[in-house]
Amino acid sequence: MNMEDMGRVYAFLLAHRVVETKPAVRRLREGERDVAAVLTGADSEEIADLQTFLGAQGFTLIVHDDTSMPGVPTGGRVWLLTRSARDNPPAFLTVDRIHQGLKIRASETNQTATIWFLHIWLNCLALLYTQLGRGISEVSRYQDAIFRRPTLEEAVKHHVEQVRRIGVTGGAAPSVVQTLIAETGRDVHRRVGNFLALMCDSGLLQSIGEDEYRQTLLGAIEIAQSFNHSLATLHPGDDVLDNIVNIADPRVSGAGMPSDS
Amino acid sequence: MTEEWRPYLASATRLIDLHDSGHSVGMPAVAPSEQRPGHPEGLWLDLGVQLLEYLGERDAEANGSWVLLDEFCAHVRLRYPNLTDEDVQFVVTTLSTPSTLTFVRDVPESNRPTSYTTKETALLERPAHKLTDRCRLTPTGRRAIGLSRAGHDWLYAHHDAEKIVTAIRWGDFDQLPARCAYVAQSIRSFGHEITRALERPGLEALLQTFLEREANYREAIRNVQAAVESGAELLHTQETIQRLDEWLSRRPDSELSLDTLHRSLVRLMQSVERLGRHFSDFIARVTSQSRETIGGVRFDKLAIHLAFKPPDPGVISRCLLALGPWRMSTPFVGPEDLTAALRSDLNTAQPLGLRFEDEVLTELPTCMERFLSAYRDQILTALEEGPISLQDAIRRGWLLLDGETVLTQLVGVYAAPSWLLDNSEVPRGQLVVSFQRDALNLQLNNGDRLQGDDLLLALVPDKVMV
Repeated sequence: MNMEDMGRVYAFLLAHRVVETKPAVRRLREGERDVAAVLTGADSEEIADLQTFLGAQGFTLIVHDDTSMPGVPTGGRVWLLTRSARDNPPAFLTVDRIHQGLKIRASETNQTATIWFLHIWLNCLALLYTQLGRGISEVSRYQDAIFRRPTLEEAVKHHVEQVRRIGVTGGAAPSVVQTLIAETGRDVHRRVGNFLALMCDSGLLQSIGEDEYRQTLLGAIEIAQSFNHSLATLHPGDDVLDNIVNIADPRVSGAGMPSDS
Repeated sequence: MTEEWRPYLASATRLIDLHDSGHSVGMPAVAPSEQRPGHPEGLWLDLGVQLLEYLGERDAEANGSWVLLDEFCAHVRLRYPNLTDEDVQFVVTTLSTPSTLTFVRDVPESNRPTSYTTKETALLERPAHKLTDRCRLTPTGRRAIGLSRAGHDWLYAHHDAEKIVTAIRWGDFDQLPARCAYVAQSIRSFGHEITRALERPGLEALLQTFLEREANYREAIRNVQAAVESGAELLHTQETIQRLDEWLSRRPDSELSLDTLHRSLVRLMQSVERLGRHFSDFIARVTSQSRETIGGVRFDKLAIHLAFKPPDPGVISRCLLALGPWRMSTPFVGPEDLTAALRSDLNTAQPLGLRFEDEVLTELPTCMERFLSAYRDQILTALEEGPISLQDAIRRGWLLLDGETVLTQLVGVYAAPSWLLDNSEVPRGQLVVSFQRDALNLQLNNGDRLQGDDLLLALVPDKVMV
């Protein structure tokens, strides 16, 4: 792998994050065949050099083949550019597209867009992990992580309804309540659509049919690698979550605000 | 013991259900009943498997003779004190009673499949004169034991690989692609099994088994590799090529050729090599301390929790940067972007060569030296008043030097406190470092957050050192 090859591989990975010799559920991208040929022809020392080069920028290069990972076509190989769990992400990396992507009105603030993204995202993760009884580190079950868009929309509407029931008087934060319950008509439908487009464009989800989406191998690996250094910091502990009991049904005793005890 | 039979039984259960479904053609599809009136603790299955294993061991010595059951009954009473000999008889009766299975086969020159039945399902047999104190394995029973072993794990896959060599030797060329595909599938299945074992929490016992049998697995991989290599060598002998030519001349429609068969074997060899690498990586990760598995998270409840306690914007931003959809913020400039933006009448005169004053550069103080010259005295003075935690140090403003963050240098003082001791002075005591669990929780001005165990630096006078 000479410097020209390395430049070509690097540019392709930054643009698409994944190189496959035989993509299973999509067409080869322009230039992907050449980049895959470079990576296939590289010896272990050259791959190690490339990994060092990417590692210095806060990236990790992961390689899988049909033997190590289900879903990779027979004889195929896949290289994935993931954000390193322990290092800071590269300075040129930004998530400002979330703000543009989740706003459906010109007057909405970045904070509104971020709150919507976070709550849709967690409901999406509930479909990809919680409902499947899948552990965070179970990367190889990414092929099982399929959901339909209406299912995610229903989950988000249900979540918004729960927040509405709790309300500020029930202990919910005013900023979240005001943002989520302000939705009207088909807002959730539009926001979920924008969320899915954003996630698909970033290679974290994949559209596999009419209104049907699946987690990508890249998405599964990044969650497994970085969960403990990111989302886990938002987790208050199982005992606190245990106290959130059936808020949707206020008749259940104990429903309402969780305590830290 | 039952565990070893699990793959064999689990793979046949739904097929037997289908056989027994009683479903009529054209009727609506319904899910099979999950009411299995088995013993809730798997008692009878365990007893049956124990008996088969026992008879299998005895069969090797008795060579087809009847095996007395008294020793087995005594063993059962040790394992299950409440069971009687009558219970053992129940198991023997069940396993020795033939059942009828109906299959379908294709008939040559006919489009209609034909059904036929077999009653060769009894695993045991008793003497004709109905003596109930003895029994032995039937050929079906021996096969069941063999299948349970073969289905157990990948350690026996080389037998399948050796069948490739046999198929070439016997000229069964049409079998070769399917046999190669079968071994390739076994390789992938084993590869995926060890991947899952690494990812799933709570499989420590399974991982331990892999570690204990590492040499066996490596040998199995080598054996498969050797079998495939000898198959490839055999395929290219003059005798085989001649036999293949004759075989192909009798089958002008066959899509097989020496080239396609060779490619099948090469792909298989590459597959074994990949498995070898994957297994080495697997062992390395199992034995390393860095392997961590993470179980389930209730994301739906976490979303509700965050409605009560929305996280700090800086924390959300960190999560999104780590896992959210990203793009590059700084577009790289290409030469074409600058077309017509740059003057083309550049001055072609050669500028004077630059001169570097290397000597001066090497004399510039390092960042650590600048940090120490700025803060050493302040730190030592503060230490004489009492211990200083990393959190205290940051609050005192020692994190910033000339507008730059010097976290590395500040932590470096805790990692190697001897930096603080100036050789020109008499040491004022011993610098001791300890930590306070989970005491560090600080938001920095640049949006970073420090969280976890806090470091504590103290100056202890020599006389109180123990």
